[in-house]
Amino acid sequence: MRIHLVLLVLFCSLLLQSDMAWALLAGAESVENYSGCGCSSGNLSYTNDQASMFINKISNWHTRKFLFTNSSAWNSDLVEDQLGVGGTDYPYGDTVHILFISGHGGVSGSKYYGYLCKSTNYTSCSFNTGNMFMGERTGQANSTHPGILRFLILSTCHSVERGQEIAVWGPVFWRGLDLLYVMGYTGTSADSPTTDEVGEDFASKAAGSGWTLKQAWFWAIEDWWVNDTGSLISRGGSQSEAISNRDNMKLDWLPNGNNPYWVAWSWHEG
Amino acid sequence: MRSVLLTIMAMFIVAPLYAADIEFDKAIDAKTPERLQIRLDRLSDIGVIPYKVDKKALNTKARGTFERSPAAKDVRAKKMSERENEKAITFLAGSVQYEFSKTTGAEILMDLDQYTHSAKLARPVKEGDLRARAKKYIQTYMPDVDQREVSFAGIKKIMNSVGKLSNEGKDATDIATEVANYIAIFERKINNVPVIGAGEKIRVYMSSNGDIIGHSKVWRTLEREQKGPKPAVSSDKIKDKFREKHSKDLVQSIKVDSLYFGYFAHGRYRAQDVLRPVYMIGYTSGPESKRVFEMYDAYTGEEIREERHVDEGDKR
Repeated sequence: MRIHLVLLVLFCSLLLQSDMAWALLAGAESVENYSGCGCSSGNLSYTNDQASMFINKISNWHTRKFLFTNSSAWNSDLVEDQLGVGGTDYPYGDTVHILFISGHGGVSGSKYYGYLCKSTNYTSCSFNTGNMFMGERTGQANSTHPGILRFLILSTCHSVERGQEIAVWGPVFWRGLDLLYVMGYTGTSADSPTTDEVGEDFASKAAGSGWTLKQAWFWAIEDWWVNDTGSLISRGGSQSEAISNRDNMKLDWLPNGNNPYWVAWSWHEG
Repeated sequence: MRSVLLTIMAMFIVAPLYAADIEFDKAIDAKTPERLQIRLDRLSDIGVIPYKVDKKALNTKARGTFERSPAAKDVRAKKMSERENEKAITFLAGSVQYEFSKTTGAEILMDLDQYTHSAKLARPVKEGDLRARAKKYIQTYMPDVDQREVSFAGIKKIMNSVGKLSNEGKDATDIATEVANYIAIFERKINNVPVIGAGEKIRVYMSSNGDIIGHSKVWRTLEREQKGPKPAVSSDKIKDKFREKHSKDLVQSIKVDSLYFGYFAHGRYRAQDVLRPVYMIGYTSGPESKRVFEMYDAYTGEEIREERHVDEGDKR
């Protein structure tokens, strides 16, 4: 009888551990009221809905760490804290496994610029991939606070822009061995009553239905009308690994520490 | 002196932010109801017959689909299982999922081994053939759809590419590109008036070889008797409303590049009582701007807001 009890406790504890290992930390940030934080980008209407519907849905399977909107959504959360420019990726943006960002975005040169709000120590109206060190492991540059971000969703325009995928995201993958997958848009993305469910739909399919990240992201975009064109990029130590990661990766996949000698990407056309 | 200089500098910085320039792209005129020859004095709301879930009927339909649909040809011998959540009932067999929305009856049929994956031996296909194949699929497997209301809207592709990095990610070589899937998109037109929004659409998914791998269908059952006609406002009146609303926006410029007119239908998980005519205007306010869509009631010209404010978020 006692042995049975011990085995039962052991089994439950293993079950609990495996469940905890699978549960990811999730964060979301979005801005609608740009004028309210002293930035000149046009105000939006549905980005906060997108972010909150994402975090509420994914919380059914994973752990909500934060949802920041408007003046609480800081550009600095995607800027490396060790650069001395006011970055707060630690203790925010790079302390979750999956991060959903919704707002304006653009590409200039070989950098992607995302637009959230200013913060006290980082007064720019944008962040950019030039000072992004997400998912960096101990031993990599700026890893006093190693990052844990694996999956980044940038629900903004031009976030994984066709023709600029490698130039923009190759160096970011190189700087952070744990960053596995970036999902976004090529061209403009819509702020509309027909796209507010994109984040929720992605979460439902990726976390609830076992779809791959690629399937869940493209489906979420295809299902909500306005001809948005989705795009995404992943990495691998070899060509086959990069392709497999792009096509088959799910939320429970773990980083393996391989350098990103290859990247594989995908996009909507037409 | 210093304060004068600062004031002048501030004026130069702030000056572009006063009174936005509003520019309407000429191309949008092609989509106005006037140009589409839609009679604005003969419109009316169209009632939607509420959807009722009949689990037994869905099970029978799923079994029939798994037995006959070309999208399920690889899983014919597999056992079908069923699962349910707050939004949908889904039937599963091997890699194929068949979902029914509990709110609208909208369907997703998909072979997940093929969706977003390139076929191993891809062969070239003509887009005209894809359109014809998709149309035939709808005719054969969706008998409840009035074919006269099915209007082809375009072919979308999912593309794949791969490249080798060097120099710490700054350079790349050996790029290879291929098609993963083709998606034929159809929209509903009722008496020549399109239905805009996520609802009333059919998408037929095909592999890179052109084989059918699934579909999405959001196609509500509508009342056949239309309500009494009501006059709608002109597209010029909507443009005026838009100008009035945005003329004082604190952005450099506003470029209106999309205008849609039609009945508005929500997506697969939202019930609605009627399809009502609306205008939808899309604009950007700079090179990094999202394309913002605003919806206007076609009868009154007033803006319709749909924000849900699900969660205000955490405080720092």
